[in-house]
Amino acid sequence: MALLQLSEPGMSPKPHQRKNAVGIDLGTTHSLVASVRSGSAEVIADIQGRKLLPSVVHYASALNGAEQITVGDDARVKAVSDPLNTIISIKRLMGRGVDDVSTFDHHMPYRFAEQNGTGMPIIETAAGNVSPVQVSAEILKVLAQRGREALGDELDGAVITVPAYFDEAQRQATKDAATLAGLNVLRLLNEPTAAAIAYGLDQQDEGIIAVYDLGGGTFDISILRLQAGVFEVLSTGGDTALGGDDFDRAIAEWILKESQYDKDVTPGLSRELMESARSIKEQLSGLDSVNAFIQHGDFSWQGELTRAWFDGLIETLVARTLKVCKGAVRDAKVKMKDLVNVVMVGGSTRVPYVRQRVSELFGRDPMIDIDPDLVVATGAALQADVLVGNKSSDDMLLLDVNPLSLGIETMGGLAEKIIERNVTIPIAKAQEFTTYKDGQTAMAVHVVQGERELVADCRSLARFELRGIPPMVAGAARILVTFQVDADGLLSVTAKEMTTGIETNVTVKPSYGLEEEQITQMLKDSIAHAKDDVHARQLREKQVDAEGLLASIENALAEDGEMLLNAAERNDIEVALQRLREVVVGDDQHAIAREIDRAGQASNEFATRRMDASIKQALSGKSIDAITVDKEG
Amino acid sequence: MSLTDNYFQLFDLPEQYSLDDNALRATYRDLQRKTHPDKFANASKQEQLLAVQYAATVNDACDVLTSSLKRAIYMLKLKGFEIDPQQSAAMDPMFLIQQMELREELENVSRVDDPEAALEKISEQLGKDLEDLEKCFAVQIEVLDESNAVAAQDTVKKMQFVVKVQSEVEHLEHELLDV
Repeated sequence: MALLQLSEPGMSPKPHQRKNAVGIDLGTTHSLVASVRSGSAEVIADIQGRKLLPSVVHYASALNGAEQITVGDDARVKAVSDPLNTIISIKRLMGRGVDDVSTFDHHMPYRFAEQNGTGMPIIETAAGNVSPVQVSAEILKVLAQRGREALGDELDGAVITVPAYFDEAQRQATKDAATLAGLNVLRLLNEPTAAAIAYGLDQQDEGIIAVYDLGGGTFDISILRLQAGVFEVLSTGGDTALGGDDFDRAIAEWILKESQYDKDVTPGLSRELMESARSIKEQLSGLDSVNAFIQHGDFSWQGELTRAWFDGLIETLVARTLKVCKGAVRDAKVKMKDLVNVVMVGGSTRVPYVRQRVSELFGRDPMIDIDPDLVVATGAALQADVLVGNKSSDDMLLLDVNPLSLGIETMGGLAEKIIERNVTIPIAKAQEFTTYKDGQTAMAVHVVQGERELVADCRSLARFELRGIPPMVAGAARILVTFQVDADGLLSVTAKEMTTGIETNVTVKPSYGLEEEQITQMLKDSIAHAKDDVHARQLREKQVDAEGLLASIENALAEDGEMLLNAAERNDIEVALQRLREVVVGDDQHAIAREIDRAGQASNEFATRRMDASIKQALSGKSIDAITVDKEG
Repeated sequence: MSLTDNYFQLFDLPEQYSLDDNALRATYRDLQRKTHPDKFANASKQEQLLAVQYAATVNDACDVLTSSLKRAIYMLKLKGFEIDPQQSAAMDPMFLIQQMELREELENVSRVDDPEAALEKISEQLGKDLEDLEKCFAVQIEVLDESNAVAAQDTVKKMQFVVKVQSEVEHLEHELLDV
């Protein structure tokens, strides 16, 4: 065994190593991956130079025992000929329950399988049943592979973007998909915020800006204050079921009406109409009118669509986005005239009528300098570069908000808000509740999300029970319910009975989401499938974790150890670190996990003191660390 | 400086009702620069959890201190006087009549010729009412003891009233004035 290496105090134990991080825009109609290379963020193209990967997955029946899954352009060509096995716009189903799907105004052609208990819409395909999370994971795998090929090595982490108005269940589903694709998620980043980064860092903007983001299936509006590298979201609003898809549908429905076709529309014809509609829409961005001829089976239509008529077809849809914009401006407590810029994001902002109405509303020409299809992935890559540690995080700070109020059900089916919308995350809020009946020993906690007064009108996120409340008269027990939303916008809930201290913790997993074990099992299956060694992979992950922890505590000791620890305390930490160093070179992943825990515990008080000291420093503006020597100077 | 500090101490501000908004914003940004989880994306799990806890506390503190109503409730609580939502003590009848009149105006707003102007007028009145109550509370909290706590609590309840009507005005604005 090699001798242990000791680095000079204050020096990083490893030379600065550039890490591989990507930003991924997982879109409704297409997805992209970008990375910062030689200083600037660039979208990574495939071998044929295509930057946009259509968010389409095709499942074919098993051949020689292996599933046939194709993603992207190769899958899209099968959309019309094999509609039931070609999954498009899967983002619309992410985090949704079977019940939600049945209320969609637009019928999806897929066969949904019965799935006991989960409530997740499971799609039957020729290659077996798949969940929306799995379909999204297939798209992410292709993008990750693109990233690996471009960067020449394994990825250390990824920032994945989500619509700002995505609720808890939709965010969790996205994160699950990334985990399933084997990605280390550095952060879920809101799409408009990502766009603001791409623009803000480019333009060195100061002041209040609006980001209008109309994608294939979702609409977001965010109002941000930009100041000295701080991107502070003041408010956000949106509609997670409104986008360019709906423009296509409006055209398709108009064509169907014009054609006077009176038979049932088959899934294949439906797809054909949607594809033609999309093409007509795209052409109308540059032309005043488009002639089209559509033939599918016994369906045939020839006609002309003018831009003016198209504008009329989408008028109410665009008006819906404008109403949301006004609400967001009001929520931000600013006036239209306070805005210094309006940024356009998402492919659907190419539609001239959208640009026209947005300019009228905000009273200024929107910014379209960066390609609206690429801007979100670009911003995500910039954030990923910072989070992974390649770029100093001092220059940039993102303060995002919770898009929808979070609360619990109280008597009479009313929703009591605990964390309000548009409050900056991460956030923790606690509220006390009490019992309703004499001698009540358990309490059902129903976590909901939404702005409406009635629970029935809100989204149900999770239910759990707090048991073991000592019997008391009604109203005497004191139950403290704490909600915490982390920087990804994900919620965890704690309920605690104050007189006994009985506590229940839940990380909210939507009722129709995946259980942690299910994801682990799926991951194992997929790895086994690829004939990889599960244990080797897990060991490697643990070793990376351990090395990261060692480096971080060693640095902390070098910086603040002298100042914040006495000799005995420091010795305890050093001993724990030495134990960890001894096991990390071995192959016992459980021993490594155990020593990681111990080292974490040993250094917990130190970490807290460092945080307190750094706050003190922030307030006093003076250096607390007299012993830090500038090695470069 | 730690999590157990009260929010004024955390923000290094004097414990008084009227506060310097600019100083609050500046300190807020400094604190977020030190505690935000993005600054710990590369750190150990344990430090990341700690960062979420600290940043959440800083955000909650900022939320509470920025809102004149939440700040008032918080200051009462620091001095040991909670606002009990169950307990509805008799309120100043003059205030109640005034508020009822405002509510009536609000209910009729959709039927008047110029709802926008009517809402604007109500909104202005509410803003003035809230400002008066804030001034009143600023004095009361300075000399707070057992004998006059009820008066301060009463002021806060009036503020709650006004803030509730304000949110109804905002809701109506959204309903009435849009496409």
